[in-house]
Amino acid sequence: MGKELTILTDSDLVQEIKIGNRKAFSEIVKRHQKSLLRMSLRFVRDLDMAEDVVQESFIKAYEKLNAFEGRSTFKSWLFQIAVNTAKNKLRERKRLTTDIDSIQLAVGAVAETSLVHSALSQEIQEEIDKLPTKQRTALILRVYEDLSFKEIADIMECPYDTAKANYRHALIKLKDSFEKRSDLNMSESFGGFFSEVANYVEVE
Amino acid sequence: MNPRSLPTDLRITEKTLRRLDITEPEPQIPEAEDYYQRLHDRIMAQVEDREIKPPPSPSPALSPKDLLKRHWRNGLYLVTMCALVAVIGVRNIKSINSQISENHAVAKFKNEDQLIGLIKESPDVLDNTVLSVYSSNDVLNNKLYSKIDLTKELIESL
Repeated sequence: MGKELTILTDSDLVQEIKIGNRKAFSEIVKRHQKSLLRMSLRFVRDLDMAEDVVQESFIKAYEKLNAFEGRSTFKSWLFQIAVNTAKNKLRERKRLTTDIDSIQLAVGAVAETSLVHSALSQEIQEEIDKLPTKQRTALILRVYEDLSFKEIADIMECPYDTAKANYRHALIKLKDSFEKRSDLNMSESFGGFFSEVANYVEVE
Repeated sequence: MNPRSLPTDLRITEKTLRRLDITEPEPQIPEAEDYYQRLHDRIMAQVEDREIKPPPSPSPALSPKDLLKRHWRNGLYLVTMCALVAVIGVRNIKSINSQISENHAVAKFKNEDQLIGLIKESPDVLDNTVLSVYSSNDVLNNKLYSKIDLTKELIESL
């Protein structure tokens, strides 16, 4: 019990929790709560709801710890629980609300470029929200959580190639949406952001 | 996936998303340490009342339905179903064929019986029958000959 928990791996901590060391679970919570909150917030787009997702996910993980077989990393397993919890919360919210209110833009004294990017962020977020759940999940985990496809496949409980295909399809749909905006000459109004990124990629 | 394996247009899309997230991270998550300490404490308070559930009992053998569902997940469900239908179809066709050949054998036997009866009664009928493919010699050479209770009189009459 007197072990320095911070130096233990997740797997070691899991073993400690199983033998009744709750401090080990506290260490697990400290390690993963922030990334779990960020990921949950990407899904539910509401901080209070994301907090609920995080809490529920940790409690479920604790109760079902014996079901964790170590076939994936503990983080992947935890994210898998959180993704499913977030999806359930979204379904619940869809049932309860008919009108999904959009996120308010912070106006105030924000610089013009920032405003442009905020507007663009929101536009893109709306496009991401339109994606089918599997594609959205793959996209969020890959782009924003920077997870490997192996981890994404573990979290989504699907084969590796399926995770890749979902990600690719998500990108294709977003690309089409970007192109539509470009056709409408919106990229100019967004300060040429897309062409800027295109140049940046080419230079790389 | 190596990002380089993506076509350029998709790489641009990927970069756009990543870059946009760096320049304008959305949604914003709290950064204050206090916030995470409170969240941690809330979680631990709830965990205090909980117990780790016993390990799940080993799952029973998969039912055929579950197996099919697995195939479905891997996109093989249709292949399996088609193969199953094909096997059942072939077996049915086989049984239909054997039924038909059995029926033919019976019909043939009946016809031959009738034919022998006919020959017994009036041997020249068969030779004079225009449509018949048999002649009385055929019948005599046929292996059914052994089964016919040919009496001496009948042989003589033929």
